[in-house]
Amino acid sequence: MTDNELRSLMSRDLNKGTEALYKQYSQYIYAIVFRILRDCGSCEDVEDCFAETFAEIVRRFDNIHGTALKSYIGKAAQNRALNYRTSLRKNQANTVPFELTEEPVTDNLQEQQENKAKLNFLLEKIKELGEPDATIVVQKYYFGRKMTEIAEMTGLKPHAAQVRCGRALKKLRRDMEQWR
Amino acid sequence: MNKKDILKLLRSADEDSAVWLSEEYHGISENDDRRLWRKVQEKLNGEENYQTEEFHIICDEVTVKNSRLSWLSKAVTAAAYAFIAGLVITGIFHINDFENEIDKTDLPLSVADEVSIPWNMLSSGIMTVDVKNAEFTAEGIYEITIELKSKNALSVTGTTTFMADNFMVAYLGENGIEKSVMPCEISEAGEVYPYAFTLTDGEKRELTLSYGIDSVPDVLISGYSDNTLYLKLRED
Repeated sequence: MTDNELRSLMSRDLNKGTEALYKQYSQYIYAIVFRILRDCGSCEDVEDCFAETFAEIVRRFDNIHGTALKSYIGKAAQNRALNYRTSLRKNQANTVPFELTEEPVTDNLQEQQENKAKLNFLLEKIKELGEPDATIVVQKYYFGRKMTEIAEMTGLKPHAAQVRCGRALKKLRRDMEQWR
Repeated sequence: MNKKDILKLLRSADEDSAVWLSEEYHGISENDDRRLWRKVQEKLNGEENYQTEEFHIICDEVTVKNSRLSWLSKAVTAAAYAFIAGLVITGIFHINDFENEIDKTDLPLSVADEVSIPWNMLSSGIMTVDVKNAEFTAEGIYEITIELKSKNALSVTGTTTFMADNFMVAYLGENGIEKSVMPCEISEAGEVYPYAFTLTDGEKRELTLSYGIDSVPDVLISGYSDNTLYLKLRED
């Protein structure tokens, strides 16, 4: 659905428009919110922030003019998640486990490019794993889901999913040795 | 590159990669999807305290539209009630021998005919599924309360939930339940745990109902995408 179609549907029928907006942009909003809150909030925080973000976008929808919807929604999600993260951190203890600290942002452009290329190579290799292994690896190591949930998603038994996950990771390690 | 480096690299995904990962690999899973949509609806229906007036104006609009929709829901519910009543009157799901081939024209939720249900553990007897109640919930879920009766007069009551859309597909579609049923897990205390998933063709899921009575075998409710809702008893 194009931006204009979505805008038109929202003005005609707010319920259907909201549903269409959700279908089209929920994964996008979730990805942005998850990325920002992953290291400092729980799964519930991510979901709350997602719902708040989405509700806010619906609330302000009539005021979104002259911008590509996706850009606006992306920025809105990012800002909301950053605010949420700030409030979470205020409520958390001052000490943060080392593994939960953010990656330092390097100001070395060449290093950034290198990391990006390496990440792209990894994502390519993950995709090459095929299904359901790629989903298992991403769900486990990126989204941090439990193996029982992943097993349900992929229609495997938990033990089978676990075994596949171990094998896939081994394969990725071998594949990543090819990197440069 | 060791495991830790790979994981670190994966977690360093920038926004574009994060979006790609989410879209490609179900950042929002099917189960999450229903829960998140419900949370969004709660926010939009003003179930939580929001501070801005502007928001309430939108909420009112949503409520008004919802109330319009509720007429449609009522109409659909009425049709569904009539349909369910037809099922109840005609004796509903009878269980035949396991050896019986599944007749794909026997659609449990679309026609008021007898339905072949495999029963592979107990060799004889009849188990009936009586629809006690059926209604749309606020979340648009069509909730059906059924009573399972085994041949030795032990009875259990449980609730199975189907999404309204799926039910309507079952009612209107050419092949009955075309893609998915969404049953619930039922605890010993009779609480209902929504258990949502979509079945692809040929896929099978099973749910176990436990009654806490030793002598009663578990009942497995399996949703199949071949248009049949299977009920069978399993020996302990």
